[in-house]
Amino acid sequence: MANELDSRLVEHFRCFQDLDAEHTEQLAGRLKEVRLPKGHTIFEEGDDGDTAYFLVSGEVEVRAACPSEEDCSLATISAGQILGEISLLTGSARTATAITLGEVELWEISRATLESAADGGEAWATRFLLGTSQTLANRLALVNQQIVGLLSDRNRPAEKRVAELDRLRDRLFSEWSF
Amino acid sequence: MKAFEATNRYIRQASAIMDLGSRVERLLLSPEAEHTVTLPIELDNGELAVFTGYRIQHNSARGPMKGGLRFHPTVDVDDVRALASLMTWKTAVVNIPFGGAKGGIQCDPQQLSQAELERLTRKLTQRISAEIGPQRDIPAPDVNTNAQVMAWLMDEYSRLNGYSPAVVTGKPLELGGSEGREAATGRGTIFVVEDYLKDLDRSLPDTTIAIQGFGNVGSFAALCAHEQGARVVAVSDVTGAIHHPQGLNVPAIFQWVRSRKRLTDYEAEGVTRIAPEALLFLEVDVLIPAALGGVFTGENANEVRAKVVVEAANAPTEPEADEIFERKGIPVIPDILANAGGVTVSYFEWVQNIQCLRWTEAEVNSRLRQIMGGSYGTVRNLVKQRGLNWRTAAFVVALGRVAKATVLRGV
Repeated sequence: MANELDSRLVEHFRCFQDLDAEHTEQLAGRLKEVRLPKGHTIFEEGDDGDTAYFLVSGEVEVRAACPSEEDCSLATISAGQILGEISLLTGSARTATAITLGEVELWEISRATLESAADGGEAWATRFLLGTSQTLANRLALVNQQIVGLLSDRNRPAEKRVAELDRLRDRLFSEWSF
Repeated sequence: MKAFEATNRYIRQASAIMDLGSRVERLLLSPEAEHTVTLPIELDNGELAVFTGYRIQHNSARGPMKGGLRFHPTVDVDDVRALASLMTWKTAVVNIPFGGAKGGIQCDPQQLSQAELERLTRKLTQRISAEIGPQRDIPAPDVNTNAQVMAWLMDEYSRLNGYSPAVVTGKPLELGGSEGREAATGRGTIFVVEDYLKDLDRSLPDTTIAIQGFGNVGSFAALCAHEQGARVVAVSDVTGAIHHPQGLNVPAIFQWVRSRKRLTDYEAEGVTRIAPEALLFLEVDVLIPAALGGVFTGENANEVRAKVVVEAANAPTEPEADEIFERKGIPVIPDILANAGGVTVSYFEWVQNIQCLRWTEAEVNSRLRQIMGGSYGTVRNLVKQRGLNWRTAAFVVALGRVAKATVLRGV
């Protein structure tokens, strides 16, 4: 069991790739295995939470409430990715809802576990924090790009933001000229 | 109520053809404002009576709103709302720069003295004076309201806001009313008939016409048609119908009825009395319903043998009859086009008031000719180019114009 987990952790999660066998085993001992069926809500936006999950198999959809319509889908998480890390790191309420898209296999890690491992100088904890920081940094870079895109869209209205009434106006005057 | 459901049905048809979408459709169908006012007045016997008045302003995208005020016991908010909407489409079909509105008081004018009627009209004017105005909303006569009622309204509004004849149309000539207003609806109908015949390489002199209704609309339609050489073979009113296969002497009948004699008492060589409904089934070139709504139904439409129906009345054809006419190949020139001469000359009255000008009757009629001709041409082109029936084409023109103004101005 431990061996299987060891190899899959190293296989899926890049940040653990250069951990030696001893440290990998140490990590494996800290994790709790969770298996969930399709359509299960792992956590819901606004809930308290202090755990993150390593997704080992299956897919999870991450959704958030949007002001204009129903929920919007933010991302689909697949094997080898982590979810729930925001609450794990900050201790704040869940910022999104995670729902399983099929049967999934997860490894759960709690804030208390991470803290005690970090205090105890366990090598995997440093790796994990470094890996998560990289993920967050990449995401921040992407969000920056998106903000730049939105701002320039707003300053370039004509062809980019043709609203319903604008389209109707053009059609009325071209198709129904009387 | 049926006529109003029918109106919405026609609007939805036109909207579907233009692919406006349900959101824009809802935008165009919703009234801008609905004013309900309470009107307490002192009766002649010293007692207090309280009436309810309405002014519903449907759409002002194309200009100040325009529409009649009716005094009737059955006036209610649903009625007025539907009629206000109809005014928006009618002013748009003839392309005059007005939107649509309608109003009224739930009352029985038969039970009120002239003095009570005046107090009621003035009270209504006070209550809605902030909502109406020459550049805002311009009332006009309708069921049970006449030039005198408009004069009171103009006077009361002018007391509050300074001399403002353009706040209302259908006024007496002495107070800024327009020449040609009385005949305008019937005259406009005959202009439409003339243009329709011209498209068929025909003209009024070789045409037979039957007219149901001999009131403000029908009598002037008959007179105009006769003046231009048409053979008016039958006319009717509430007392019955008269018929002459070679054509009636319309000016004589017009004078006869004006002198308050019964239409069916009119006698002349060759004139016979026929059943009022028989008029609708005569084999004539043009049949003009110029009385009430709901004349043609699913039951009687099959018996109509006219070559074309021109609606001088409001909503004389029920949707079931429309379908039968379509199957039989009888074109129906719809009310919103065929009787728009009335609101068009109301517009002329407003224009003259604003400019402090007076036009001669000849000038009014020549401008009316232009507007009716232009509107007819626009609708006719859509009928020919898109294969639509006349009613749908007229609603497409109306909806198109209001939709264009709306999207240009922005929501």
